[in-house]
Amino acid sequence: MTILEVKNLSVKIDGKEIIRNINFSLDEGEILLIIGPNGGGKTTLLKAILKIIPYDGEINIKNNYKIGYLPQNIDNISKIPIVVFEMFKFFTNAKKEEIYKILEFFNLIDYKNELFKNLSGGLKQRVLIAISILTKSKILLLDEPTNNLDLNAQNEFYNLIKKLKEEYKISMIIVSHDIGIVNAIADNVLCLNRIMFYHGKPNLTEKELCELYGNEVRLIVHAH
Amino acid sequence: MLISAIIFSSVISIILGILSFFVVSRNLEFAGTGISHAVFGGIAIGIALNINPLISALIFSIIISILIVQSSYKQSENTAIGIMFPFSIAIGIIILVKFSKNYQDIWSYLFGNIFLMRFEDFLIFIIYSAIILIFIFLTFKKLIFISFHKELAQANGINVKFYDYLFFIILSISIVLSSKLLGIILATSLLVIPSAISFNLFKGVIKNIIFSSIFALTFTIMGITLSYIFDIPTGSTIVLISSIFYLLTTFRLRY
Repeated sequence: MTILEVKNLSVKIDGKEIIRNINFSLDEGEILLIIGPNGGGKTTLLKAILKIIPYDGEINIKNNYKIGYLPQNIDNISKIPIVVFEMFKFFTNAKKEEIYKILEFFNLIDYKNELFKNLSGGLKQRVLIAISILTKSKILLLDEPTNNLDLNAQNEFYNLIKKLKEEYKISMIIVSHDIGIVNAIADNVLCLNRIMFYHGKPNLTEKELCELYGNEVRLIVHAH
Repeated sequence: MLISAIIFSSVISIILGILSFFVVSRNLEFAGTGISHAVFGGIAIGIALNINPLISALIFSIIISILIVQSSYKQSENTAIGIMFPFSIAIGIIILVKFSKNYQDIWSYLFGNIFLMRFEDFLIFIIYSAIILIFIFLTFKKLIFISFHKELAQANGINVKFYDYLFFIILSISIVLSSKLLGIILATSLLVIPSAISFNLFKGVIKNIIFSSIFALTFTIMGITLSYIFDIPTGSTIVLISSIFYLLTTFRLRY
């Protein structure tokens, strides 16, 4: 069942075309991986779906479901001395019992009185994703979530993604350069470099993906 | 006189303490300085036109803060402030030199004199304080979210631009409020130091807001009392006390 539909989406920033004529749809519980070179418009596409930047074309979200967002580089978040529990209290309308339930599901109970800014990158992500789930988001947009994580944290992150898909039927769009690993959990892949090069099953070999892209992808693949 | 000065200063200091939480969280320390100089321009206009400077200062600084927010979306906030700051001072100086014969009055705003308050000033202060407190009460969660991460707040349906304008306007009002207590030149001290201290000592939004206000209140009461006893300027005394406290708490943390 389609939960998000993007039709003829184009975005211009200061008159410069960033992405053009993007078309795809996302099913309930689907994990879509977006890959492409830096500056190819991946983050822009996410921001358009969030409707926080102007765009042309159509973005239809079933039942106007809320969309959760995990921005890039959350390590640079402001120095506000907010503790984890307060974030759940201020950023959601959930009751105390609900908050504790979600803290448990995400293994965050031990950190509830810790300052957010002092948490590790992986924990910060977990907190933000947990908040999205608590605000009843049905779609999660994750922008390069594994960029600053060590290998252990990366594994933990992918396990969490699988758990979210199974338990909550969350649909996810993941922007990532980790083609190999994400391929294993992604249902579909979208290759983006200003225009859409490919959208479909991730059963393409890396070689085929490279051909769709040219040299740029080869560089990214070998970087990991 | 002393009692009413203490009561009003206490209210102002608590307000500044609360706002300092947002100013320090969002790295807006320099914005405070920028707006306080806009207040100088506004006060000069008021003195020249012979209207209550607390009113002209408010209008002028609101215009400047709107300009700051507007240009901050094109360039960085600090660039915008760096331009508006000398612009307001320049206007203030030209107006004062050209149209005002009364430098005494501007002196009391530049360096503050809580004992030089007229009844009309008290009334204005009550209205300004009420506006700020109501604003904070009504928008608290949203302000916290925006202070945490602008884009994330926006993605959660908060109109960040709108609340930025409102917040800067509130900041302007608070600086106008503090101009009589601390003086324009020192106005930002209580918008920065209380939270700078509490961020070093406490965890959590609520705790930090409460302790920022307590610090601001304590420094103000100590400052007024000492300045009364030794007959020295109130604003400077408050700033000295709070700066010393800040140094002590950072010193304690390092060694």
